[in-house]
Formats: sequence, C-alpha cells, structure tokens
Amino acid sequence: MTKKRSKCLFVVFSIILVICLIASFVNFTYPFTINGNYYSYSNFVSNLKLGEDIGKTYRIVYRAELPEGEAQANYNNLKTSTMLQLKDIVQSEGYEDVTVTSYGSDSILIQIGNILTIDDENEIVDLIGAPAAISFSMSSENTDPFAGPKDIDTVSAYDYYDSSTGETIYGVLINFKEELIDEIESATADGGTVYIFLGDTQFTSMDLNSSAITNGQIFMQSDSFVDHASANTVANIIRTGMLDLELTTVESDSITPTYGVGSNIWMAIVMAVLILIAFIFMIVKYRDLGWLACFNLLFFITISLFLLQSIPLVHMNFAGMIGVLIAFMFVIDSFMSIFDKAKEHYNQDTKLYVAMKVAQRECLTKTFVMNVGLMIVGLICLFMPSLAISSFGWATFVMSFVSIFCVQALQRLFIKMYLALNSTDGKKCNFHKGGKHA
Amino acid sequence: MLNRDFSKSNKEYFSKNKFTILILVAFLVIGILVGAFFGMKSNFEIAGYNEFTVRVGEDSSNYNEYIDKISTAINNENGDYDSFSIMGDGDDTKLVIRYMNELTNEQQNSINENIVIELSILDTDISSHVYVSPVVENTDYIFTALTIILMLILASIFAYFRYNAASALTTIIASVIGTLMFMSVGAILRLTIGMSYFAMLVILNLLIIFFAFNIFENIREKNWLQTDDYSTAIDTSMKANRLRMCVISLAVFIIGLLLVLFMPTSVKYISLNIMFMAVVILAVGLYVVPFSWSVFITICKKREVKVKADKENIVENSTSEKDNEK
Repeated sequence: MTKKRSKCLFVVFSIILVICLIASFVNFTYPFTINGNYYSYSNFVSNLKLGEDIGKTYRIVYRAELPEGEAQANYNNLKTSTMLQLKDIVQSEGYEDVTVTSYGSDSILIQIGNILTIDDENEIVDLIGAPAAISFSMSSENTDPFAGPKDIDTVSAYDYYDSSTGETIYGVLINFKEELIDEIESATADGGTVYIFLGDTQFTSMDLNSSAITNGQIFMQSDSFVDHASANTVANIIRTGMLDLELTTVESDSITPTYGVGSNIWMAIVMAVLILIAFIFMIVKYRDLGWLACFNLLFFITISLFLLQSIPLVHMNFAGMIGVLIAFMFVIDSFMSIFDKAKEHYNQDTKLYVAMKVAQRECLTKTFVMNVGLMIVGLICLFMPSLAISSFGWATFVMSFVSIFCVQALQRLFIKMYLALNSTDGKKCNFHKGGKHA
Repeated sequence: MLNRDFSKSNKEYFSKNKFTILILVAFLVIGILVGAFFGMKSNFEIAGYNEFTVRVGEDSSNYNEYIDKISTAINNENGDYDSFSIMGDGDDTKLVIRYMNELTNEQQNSINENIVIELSILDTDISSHVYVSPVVENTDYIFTALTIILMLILASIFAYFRYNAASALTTIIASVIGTLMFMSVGAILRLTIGMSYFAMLVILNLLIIFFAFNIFENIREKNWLQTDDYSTAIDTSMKANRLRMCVISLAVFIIGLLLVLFMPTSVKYISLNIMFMAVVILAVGLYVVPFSWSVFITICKKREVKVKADKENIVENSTSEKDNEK
C-alpha cells in the first residue's frame, strides 16, 4: 500500500467514523420536509431498550378476585397460575423484560421494561389494561349467555384478504373447547343474531345465518377493527378476561428505574469514564498503535450500539451493561495481545512491519478462539430464562461478532494502512530494540 | 510463593505448600460456614419488599427534597440498612418507595412511622403500603448453576483437547474455588445481592476460564511440556500473563469502584460485589491456577509414566512369551 492511498483511506474512515458517531449520539431534526412535515432523527443510544432496573418501567396493578363459586382455599394457587398466564401474554407481545409479582394480599403487579415511546405505553394499556369477561348470548340484554370465558380454548387476532371487495378483513378468531361444540351449535341452531358482550357492555353482534359459528369457531368482526393492532387489543382483553381470577385494573402508570432515579445516566457516565481510561491506557502504552486501537474501538462502540438497539430481543439491564463492558475488555485484550507480541518480536531485532505481521498471524487463532468462546458463553446465557443472565448473554453474544469483525478485519486493515506510513520507527509505537522500555 | 519442586513426592509437595493450602481451605470452610449460618443479604429483588406509594401532588419542584427527606428517614432509623430505591413516576406526581423485608417487624414499623413523619412535614398523602413478593424466581438459581456447569464442561473439554488433562482439571478446580471464594466474601461481609449477582457469577467464571486459558496457551506456545520442566513452564507463563491479569482485574475493580461512587444506594452493594470479583479473579489467576496446574500435571505425568511402564512391561512379557514358545 502506498503512503498516498493509506492517507486517503484514513481520511475516508475518519469521515465514516464521524457519521457513525453522529448516528450513535446525536438527535436532530432533518433539515427538509416530507409532505410538509418535519421529521426528527433519534440516535442509537436513545433507542436502546433499557430494562426495568435502569430504564423507565411501565406498571399495572390488578386487583385479583376469586370468581363466583371458587373456594377461598384455592386463591393462592389460582393467583400463581394467573400470574404465569399474564407473563405469557405480555411476553407473547414481544416484551421480554417483564416481571409479574404478588402485590399485597389481593393484587398482582406487572412491571414491563424496554419501553421507548409514549406509543408503546398506550400499547401496553391496550394490551392488558382492562380485562373483561366475554359472553355470548342470543339476547341483546345478555340474559342466559350460552358461552362464556371458560368455554373458550384459544383466542387470536386474525385477518385475511377478501378478493371480492379488495379489502383486508380484520377480526378475532375464537375457538371454543371441543367438548362444548355440540352444546353451542344446538344453542345457535335456530339462527338469528348472536350478541357478544365484553364485561357488561355489548361489543358487537353477528348474524348467525351467515354461518358465524362453524365447527366450534367464531370469527368475530366489528367496525372498530380497523387494523391488526385493534383486533389484537380486543383479543388480549378477551384473553385476560379468561384468566383463573377476575382482574380489575387498580392503577397503571410509568415509573423511573427500580435501581433508583438517574441510575441509567450514572451507568452511562461510568461506561464513558471507563472507556476514557481504556483509551488513555492504550495511547500511553502503545502510542501510535494506541491511537489506532482507539480509532478501531470507536468503530466497535458505534457498530455495537447499532446492533444492540436494532435487534428486537436485546434488552439492556444492569447485567447486560456489565456484559457490554466485559466484551469491551476482551477487545482491548485482543489488541494488547497483538501489540505485545509485536513488541516481543521487535525487541528481538525484527523490523517493525515484519514484527506486526508475525504478531497478527500468531495471535489470529488466540483472539479468534477467545471471541468465539465469548460468543458460546453468550449463546448459552441467552437461552436461560433468568432475566439478568439472558440480558448478559445477548450483550456478549452480539458484541462477540462485532469484536471478531473489529479485531480480525478492521484492525488488520488499519495496521496495514499504518505500516504504509511508518514501517520502521518502532519508537512511535513505544517499541525499543533489545527490550528497553520508555 | 509456591514451591514447585517436582522431584519431590506428593506428600512432600503438599507439606511444602501447606500454608497456601491452609489459607485456601480456611477461606472455603469459613465462607461455607458463615454462608450456611447467615446467608447472604438479599436485596428487594430476591427478598421482596415493602412499597410505600406516596402522592406528592402535581408540583414536581420539590421532588428532590422529597427524595432527600425519605432517604434521611430510612437511613437514620437503621444504620446498616442498605437497599431501597425511591422512584418517581412519569409525571412526578407520585413517589414509590421500596425497602427490603429483611428487617424485624419493629424495625419496619419504626421506619414506616419515620417516613410518615417526614412526609407529613412535606404535606403529602400516603396512598398505599403493601408488601410485594420477590421478583426472582426459584428457577433463576437453578439456571444460573446450569449455565456455569455448561460453561465449565465446554471449557474443560476444550482444555483437554487443546492443552492436556491437567489443564482441564485446573480449569474446573479454579472455577469452583473462585466461585466459592466469591460467595464466601459475600457471605462474610454480608454484602447485598440482587438479580445481577447471577450474571456476576457467570462473568466471574468466564474471566477465570479466560485467565487460565491464557496461561495454558503460553505454556503450549513455548512447547514447555516437551521439556518436562514444569516449574519453569508455569513460572514463565505466569510472568508473561501477570501484567495482563492485573490490568483486567484492575479494570473490573474500576468498574465496581465507579459504580459504587456514582450509582444510587440500591446498586452500591452490587457494585461492591464487582470490586470483590476483581480481587477474587486476580487471586485465582495468580495463585489457584498455577498451584492446581502444578499439582495436576505432577499427578498426570506420574500416571503417564506408570501407564507407559506398564505397557512396556506387557510388551516385554509378550515378547518373552513368544520367544519361549519359539
């Protein structure tokens, strides 16, 4: 590589790095309009999904009461099963960071982390905000309903494309329990209209003549179903209304991190200080090579931030943050391994560019194995149901890929570029012939 | 430091290193005993907590004042009380105060009264006080252990094939001793543990394995095993890796220190655990790994020599039998 080409490449990579840093840390409004509207850009850091311990948490408290006819002795068992079912419902909506706990003697507390925007909060209110028991009746007054929440097997939002009208039809598909199919069919055999109630309110009515109920299945339609999300909201209300205990919403709000107010900001400060210390250490110890490592580490940070905020299942809690720092340390250790090895060879009277190349070759397997090891540990951890361990697993798993890329690809390229500018003077890298140290 | 005279018998070897062994064993025994009698202190995630919800009105200008008052009320009441978090809700109209349920009823009542007194000065309205059950489930303990066991199995298989049996055994022993030491420190100093502690145990084992592999890799790289000079092998390798181990441990220590300095009270003790983790990994890297490796390599080599001798005897015997038959 020629000096000119090397300089050009450094300039190009510097520009890319500046763009990456802006994308990672700066929020701004686009200086142009689309259809007359201004849009703003949200950086990678603010898009990180924070766990409930260091991020904003949404919480809902339900009063859980026994249904009529259930013995009080069963309350604790039913409460436990209701809590498990609630956790499943929230997790099935893609919210991994959820804790469901017993709140006092008669209530249940749900806390959900990873909430980014106000829209998400509304989504959660819709998701499990107000459970209601569904009932099906042939009378508009809901007298003598022929089926209720206990008769339902599965509920899901469903949509299909109607080629005759050219529209997508949204609705909720309800499957009744198999043993009740005959009973339901005999109740609706005379035709007419079936009225569907959510709690005490009539939600919708459907004409049975258009075979609304077939094979123990009903496709519930309503004017309020304008998209999949609106149908899903109702499906979730029905699902929570089917739980073992009858739930009533007591309160729902959002709170600051459970580890205390401002813990996310202090965590960020701690990480920044540590990164700064690492940069100073590398520069003091390896001079030019230290600068090169810092240049690479900035790429490592921005690529990691991009991946951590864009992969849906990744959530950053305290353990995840520590995982990020550990992965960061592994990258620095990889750089140190290569530089120390090069120093060792240079001390034995080898030329700088030869020393660097030999060091890279010798450390190739070691650094690769180290990062693959980290990846395997991450892989094991991310399948664990414990929230802290899975969060740590996601952080290390994602960052091990970035680490391999930065250490094996970017670093080799940067060293090649650097050697084109300085292939002889080891002093610039704090290397000294014969083992003397500065 | 360690006496690694491989010409001596195992008995002599152990007697030469009895001081180191004594310290390690004492550490483990004390830790296990203290741990068994007192256990570690659990934070609100593991022990459950009392939750005070306090309405403070629409005015959020005095928000920090409320926090200060409540912190004072809680801390004044019980000096060693260490795990609580005060959370404001989204629009600063409410404070949720959490504190652990590991206190006696009298202590809890006293703290409750104190908070009420402090808050009554501030003209607030206490809307509810409930006990919230732990966030951590029993399965979390099992899955943490499972993760560590899986890691150890994979690491020891890797060590066995890439290095040797002694390295595989050392990896296991170093991890087990490191984990016990870490837990012992927590138990002896009554440090508070939370959900993040599980991840910390995994990180601890990861770093111990990493340190051990660095040492083994160096021995392998220099082909020391072929010379049978194990003492020089481990000493040279330790010399090459000592700085790196110190730097990494220092980095972990600094992470813990910064967290202790900056983070809210509820995280301070978790951060202290990170600082002790740095000390433990350094101790394991500098002492336990070389010591265990020295012991295991001696045993393995002696066994190897014995097996080799037995094989030679069998070959010799069969050859002589064949000669006799002829």
